[in-house]
Amino acid sequence: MSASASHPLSSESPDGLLVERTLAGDNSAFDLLVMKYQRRIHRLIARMVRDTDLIDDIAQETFIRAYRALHQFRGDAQFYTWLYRIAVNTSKKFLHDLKRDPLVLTPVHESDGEKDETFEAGIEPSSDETPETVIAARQIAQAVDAGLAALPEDQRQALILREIEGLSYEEIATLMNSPVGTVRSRIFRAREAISAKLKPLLEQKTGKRW
Amino acid sequence: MQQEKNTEELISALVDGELQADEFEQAFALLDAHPQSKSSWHAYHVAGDVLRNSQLANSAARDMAFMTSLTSRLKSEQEQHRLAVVSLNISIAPVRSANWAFFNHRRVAGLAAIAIVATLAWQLGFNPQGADNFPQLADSSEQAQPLASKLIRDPRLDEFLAAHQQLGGASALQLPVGFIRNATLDQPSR
Repeated sequence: MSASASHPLSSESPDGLLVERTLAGDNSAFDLLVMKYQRRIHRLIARMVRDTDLIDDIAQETFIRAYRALHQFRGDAQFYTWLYRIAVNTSKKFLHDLKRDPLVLTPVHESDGEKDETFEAGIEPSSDETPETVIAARQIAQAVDAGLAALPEDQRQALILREIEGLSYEEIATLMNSPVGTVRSRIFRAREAISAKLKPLLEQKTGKRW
Repeated sequence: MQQEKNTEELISALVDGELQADEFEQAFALLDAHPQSKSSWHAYHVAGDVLRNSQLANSAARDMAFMTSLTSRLKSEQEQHRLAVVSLNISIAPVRSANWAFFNHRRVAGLAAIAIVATLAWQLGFNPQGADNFPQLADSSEQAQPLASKLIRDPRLDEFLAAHQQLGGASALQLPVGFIRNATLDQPSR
């Protein structure tokens, strides 16, 4: 994508920066956005569509459409909210074009993309997983659980406050009565410990790294 | 090793949007230069997603295959975009014929001539003050007067009028026929 004028996004958010960099011609920045949101998009689509192959096709089409329309993203909403709407519209279009009746498990509410299905316990979106992917998924979940359990208390607490409670470093620092730099370091070390168990599993299928 | 840990810490802080302003470029440079950093970015996000919702592990198992396929499609998309931009630049470039320069001179000269003629026409025909701009009989220093006030009257005309009135001579039509017919400088014959 060719360079363009500066994008009116907040430069303080990683998503905003990644969008700006993509529009400026750094296509690897878009890869980072995909890596960040692909699982949530998959899960969202899986709540509308049963067919596993179709889920992947729709997810790909969603990101392709987002890439094409990136210059239209105004930054007045969260990037994921915008991506969420593209995923929903793409799913509907796919199903309409295929003239299939989707087995919609739950109504898709378009009002707020941030409060989405990834935070809800629930219905298995698809029963067409292969044994290989079922095993791989179980191993990944177990690696995360085991990694979290093995962490020192301060690192586990910092990571939970950040990833599950969504607190900022400043807020965590206040809660834990520690400097922000210490919080940042604890969260990093916690992630490194869990990633050490995760990375071999994530690279397992193709033997490739990024 | 310590330096590597410190730089990977930038990636962790980038995930949370908690970098200082001067650290963003360092983090992006790392991601561009080192596959290990991209692998960390991916793993950190998988860990966070699975911590929030264990069912996202299902998708994580297919992450690599999905990215490989999507990357291939995006490269094709980028190439198509690049070709579209190139062809657009070609189509909007101004097209000039070989004899453009020759006719361009004639066009300029023609336009200049039209402009001169229009100016002259405006001055002569439509400008109410235009008559004053030409060397003419009227004295431009004087205010313009209605024409009737500039009648040149022969002073002997009054004498002739007086003589006529004395003689009478109105016709049946009440017109001073005799005056008109005999209006000469000669003395009327009696």
